[in-house]
Amino acid sequence: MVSLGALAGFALPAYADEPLLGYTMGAETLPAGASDAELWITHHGDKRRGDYARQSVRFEYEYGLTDRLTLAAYLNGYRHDYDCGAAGCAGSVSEPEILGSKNGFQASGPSLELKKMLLSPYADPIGLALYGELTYDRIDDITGEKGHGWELENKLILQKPMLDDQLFWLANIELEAESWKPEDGDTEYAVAPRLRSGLSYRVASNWYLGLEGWADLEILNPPDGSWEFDHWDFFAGPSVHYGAQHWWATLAATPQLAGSDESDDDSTGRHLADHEKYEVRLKVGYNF
Amino acid sequence: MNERSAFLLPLAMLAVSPACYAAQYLSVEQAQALMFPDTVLAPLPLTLSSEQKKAIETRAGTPVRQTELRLWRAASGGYFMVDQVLGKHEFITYAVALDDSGAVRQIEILDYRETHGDEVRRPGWRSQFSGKTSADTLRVNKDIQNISGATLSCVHITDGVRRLLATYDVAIRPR
Repeated sequence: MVSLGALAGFALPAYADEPLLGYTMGAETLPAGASDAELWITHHGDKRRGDYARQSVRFEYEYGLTDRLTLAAYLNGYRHDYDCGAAGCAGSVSEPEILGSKNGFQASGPSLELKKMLLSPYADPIGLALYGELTYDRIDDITGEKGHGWELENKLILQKPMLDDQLFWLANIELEAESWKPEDGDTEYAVAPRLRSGLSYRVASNWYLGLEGWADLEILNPPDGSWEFDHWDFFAGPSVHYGAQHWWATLAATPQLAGSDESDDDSTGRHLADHEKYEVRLKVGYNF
Repeated sequence: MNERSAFLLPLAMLAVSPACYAAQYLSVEQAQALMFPDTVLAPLPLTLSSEQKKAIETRAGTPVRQTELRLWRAASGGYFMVDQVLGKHEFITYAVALDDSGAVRQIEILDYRETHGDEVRRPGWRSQFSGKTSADTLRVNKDIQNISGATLSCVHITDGVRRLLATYDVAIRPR
């Protein structure tokens, strides 16, 4: 089921403070009065058939309300470039999904985020933070079709520095609840728990290399049905982070390594309706 | 990856552009003049043996990165040491003045190049170290107060001073 997948997988998860990894967030927050601006571009490439690509674009401004509480606002948009024809880019041969073609950028909507650090990674045995983000989407991120979507994303964030604070273990336990109503259809709902984890090692001053992965699953309630399991997927890949005094950048590449096949007659061992074969994410930030 | 991914390359190149925003507040010579005015400081070359390194790490509970010390002896008594600890991105360079008994007289931040956390340069925070010896705990949130929003810098400088005091005990203190 693609339509809700627009929200389910990838209304972009958001990170506060400087990200050592591309997707897995750390527990630190900005100090009170500090702020930063971030630009995220995530390229999603290739589905089961046809020619499919899209970029999720996100601009964030984040502000430290206190030393342990940050507030962030986002503007989100999507660029689609696909030609799936009548055979569709996903789904089974007999029941294809993602039909037709689209090429262009569309602004989608805003997000608002709060992050609260409960334990410091440096002063306490382990860093711990709570995170909540509310998003309104006007665009289905997978097809580019218009509609109305809401998403509430919650995270429990763990961060453990090791080896004299040169190696970091990060983990996020996430739960998304979301809805999507197409322009000419009824509302469907989904719940998507997700576990992310990764390691990032400081290889030299300013430079970190990392490896991260995540598994998520989606439980769906379509307009004409009842709650049911929809799919699971697993991504993993490397990342590199550079941080200077006033700016930083993080680049991560993550292929989908496994997933529940949405197609019985065109099996690949991956879920390619709501996700793609790979993602490449670049985040750049400037600290004020 | 198809040809459309190529649009990411220029942005990816941004990620590897070198940049350096050095903030040197004091040179070594300025710190020496500030911490030991009106006296002569003589370099005291000292390289830690592997046994000394291990002993310091055991006592301080933190690793020794440099076995070649940047150490000076003051003609009027006491020692001047320059050391580095990890910041979030780069090294923080600081200096410690010890009196003849091995107690901290003063610490000064020489280089600080991090985005946040330069509150460790405040005299009030640095003055907490005055009089500390290797017999003290020297841990953030115990006998050294943390600065919220500058925790990493507070912890690493405190760990560094604790290591230097252990170094004094193991390798410098006159026998």
